[in-house]
Amino acid sequence: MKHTSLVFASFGLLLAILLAGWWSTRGPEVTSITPTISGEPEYCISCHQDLPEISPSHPVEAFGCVSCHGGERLALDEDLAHSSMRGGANPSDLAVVEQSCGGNDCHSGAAGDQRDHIQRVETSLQATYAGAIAAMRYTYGAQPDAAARTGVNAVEDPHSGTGILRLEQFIPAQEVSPQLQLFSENCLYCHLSAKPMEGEEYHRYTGCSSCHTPTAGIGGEQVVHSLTTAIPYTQCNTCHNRGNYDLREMAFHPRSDNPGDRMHDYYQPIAQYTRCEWTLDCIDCHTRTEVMGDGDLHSSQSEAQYVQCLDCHGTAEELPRTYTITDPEDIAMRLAFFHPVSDLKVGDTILVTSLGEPLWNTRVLPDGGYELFGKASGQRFTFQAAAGTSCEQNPTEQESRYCHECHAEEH
Amino acid sequence: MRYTLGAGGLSVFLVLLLILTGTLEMFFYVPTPEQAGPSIQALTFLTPFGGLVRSLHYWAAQLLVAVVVVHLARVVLTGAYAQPRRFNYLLGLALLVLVLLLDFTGYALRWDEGVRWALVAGTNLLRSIPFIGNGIYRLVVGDDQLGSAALLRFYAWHVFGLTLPLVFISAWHLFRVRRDGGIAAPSPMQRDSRERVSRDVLVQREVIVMLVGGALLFALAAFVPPPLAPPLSEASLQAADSRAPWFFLWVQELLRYGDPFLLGVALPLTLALFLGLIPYVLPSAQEAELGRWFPRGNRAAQGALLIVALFVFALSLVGILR
Amino acid sequence: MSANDHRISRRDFVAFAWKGALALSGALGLGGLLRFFSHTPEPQRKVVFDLGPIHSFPLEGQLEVREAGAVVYRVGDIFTAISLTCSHLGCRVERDGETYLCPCHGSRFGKKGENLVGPANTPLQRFTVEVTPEGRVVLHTA
Repeated sequence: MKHTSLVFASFGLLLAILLAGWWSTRGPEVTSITPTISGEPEYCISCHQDLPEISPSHPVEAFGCVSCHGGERLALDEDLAHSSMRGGANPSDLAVVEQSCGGNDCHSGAAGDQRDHIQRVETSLQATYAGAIAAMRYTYGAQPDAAARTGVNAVEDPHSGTGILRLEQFIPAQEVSPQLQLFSENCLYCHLSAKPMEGEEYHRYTGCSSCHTPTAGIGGEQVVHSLTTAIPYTQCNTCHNRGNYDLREMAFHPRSDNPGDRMHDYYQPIAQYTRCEWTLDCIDCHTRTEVMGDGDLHSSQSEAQYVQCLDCHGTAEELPRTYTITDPEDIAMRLAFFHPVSDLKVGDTILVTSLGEPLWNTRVLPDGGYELFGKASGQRFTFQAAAGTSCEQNPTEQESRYCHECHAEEH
Repeated sequence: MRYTLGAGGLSVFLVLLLILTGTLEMFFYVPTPEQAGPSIQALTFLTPFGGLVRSLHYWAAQLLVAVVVVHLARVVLTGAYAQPRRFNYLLGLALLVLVLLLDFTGYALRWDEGVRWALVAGTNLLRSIPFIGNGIYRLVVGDDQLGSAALLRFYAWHVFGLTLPLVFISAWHLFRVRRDGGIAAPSPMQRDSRERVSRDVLVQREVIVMLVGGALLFALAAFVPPPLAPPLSEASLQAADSRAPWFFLWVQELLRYGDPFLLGVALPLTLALFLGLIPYVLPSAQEAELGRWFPRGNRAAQGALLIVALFVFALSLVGILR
Repeated sequence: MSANDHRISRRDFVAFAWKGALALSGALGLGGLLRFFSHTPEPQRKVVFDLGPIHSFPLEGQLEVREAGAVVYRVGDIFTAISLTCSHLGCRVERDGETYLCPCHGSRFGKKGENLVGPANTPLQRFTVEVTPEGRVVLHTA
């Protein structure tokens, strides 16, 4: 045949073109969402269509993916799409939380409106670890008293109510005492910026997700894409109740068992607990300012923690503080909206702490009794005030340890 | 019977393909800093066959650099630049420079972290030119630092400012090939065989090279996607790549050793001048050996070219291996 | 007629004038083209950076201001700032132990920006740091 090589070459080119054309049509099915918050189409769900919605208050139709995670919204190549994501897979890590979760209308708004979550968390003890660090530095002579001066991250608090206006960053390499070096190596696994220790029982994320993404009991490989305010005690126990510190060795001795029965296995032996403490979830009593911070820099957990038994039960002589909700925009109504465990309504009377924080999951009953709904469990409990009972506790000595003397069960 | 590598023909084919794919890309690419990266991503991932068009454009551009260098080597190593082809040789060198500039401006249009430092260093190199450096910088960049003006100017250069001279000079170059008597060969009286390879055979050979080259290009374009990094932004600066594009790795390597103007501007220009002077300064091949590989008459020129090629190649290799 | 020998012929004069006019217009055109290309928009780069109140700086510490491409050092009451832009061809230098290393062509600088190794032959540029009367630290990169 004349021009054989020409014919073959043309055939080859045609084949190559068809092959190239067919190959370029392969790939994930291209699907997009256009979130209302940005108005720009995002193609993340072409690959991530099995990802569950993260929470009812962050619907994907409104937020999309990129407003929180960053990333390249138009890319379908894995490496390029993920290249500009904030915080790796966790945009709530404190290093990037302001860009991901912040904003006036979101979680770094006005303090008066109680929308300043990020500022409060960044100054809280769980983020700064300032109490433990201050105690250690004081003990080993690096500072003259136990007032906090350094924290895990440098942070500022110009409107401080405690007099501590800032914390500098704790830099172990600059510390003189070798005990402090050891402290930094062995004892800094439990703050909001720290990667937890190895092990399923410690598994949690960093930043806001340390608490708000329930990971307890879920293996480390499985990604948990969830945000919740119904935080069970198991999440707290990824850091708390995990073992003992040994100051002589400056080491942490983790529990050897994986607790099952909460009362007998989770809590320390020989300690005493009242029934609330091994029935309710931690967040049923410990309030937002206690856990997330009140916006001020503190030197010790004892300054931050203030809720006592009397906040719910009152004293032998006084009923617990209450107030009646009149404003539909009341902070209690806002909180209950995300958590309709008690079906809170305007006009309900609820308990309130000594610092004015509403215990929105409680209610004063018409017969004079009280009810509480577990925030995470939804369980309903009824209880009585101490007034009018056989309680003999001195009304001026109302720390919980006094109540424990009669009401605690020994472990 | 002489044959041809088809390098010249393949170059023409690649240029035509580049013009076609480039025009197609112009329907989607937006030359502003905010939109450059996203428009390329939309073209690559969301437009049907958009990724293929971009990939073809990228690979045709890289292959073109390789092919024209092969063509230059072939011309020198067969002595084909001798009179009356000396002027055409200069036209060819001008085309080489244009191709490298087109490659660089096209690369810059990505406006992603992969090109950031190449752009910064490359434009700052202009500033190192004495007396007129700052003026040239402002002319090329359009501002006193890289930004939207620079991107727009690079776009203008790439699409028209450099392409129009390229097309014009290419046409002239091809015209000169014919005017100078076709492929370099001794006159019939000086050859052993009176046969002359026919135009049909030559054309067929070139066409086959184009077809096979085209097939390889399509296969390459389909299976090896061109690079794309996150768009240039303050936040992504840490991810920036500090490597020069492959055809300028040798310049980046040179710049490690001394003054930027001398090594980065003067030396490459001197090399180009040197190559340009070869037909005028070094002895040419005898007419009897014209068109044969490694003729005896222009050994000095062959040696000069091979030294330059070795120099550039060795520097590039060092740069790759870092 | 001797005076006429020094005069140029009409033809030559016209030829000369024509070529001169062409050359002049060519030069004017080129000049105009250069001016056309040289127009630049107003520079919009930020050159003043407020770094916060003075007490947020550790007494002996440093702060990298990524946005400004600079690092600010504090020793006691003295603030110094050096640019992180390599003085060779403008890439961003990276911290490498106690020195700064440029990834583009290998220039190395010491902690104060002085040249140690490599093709750069001027040190890293120094910037001024000002402490305002209100106690805020302000970096000036120009």
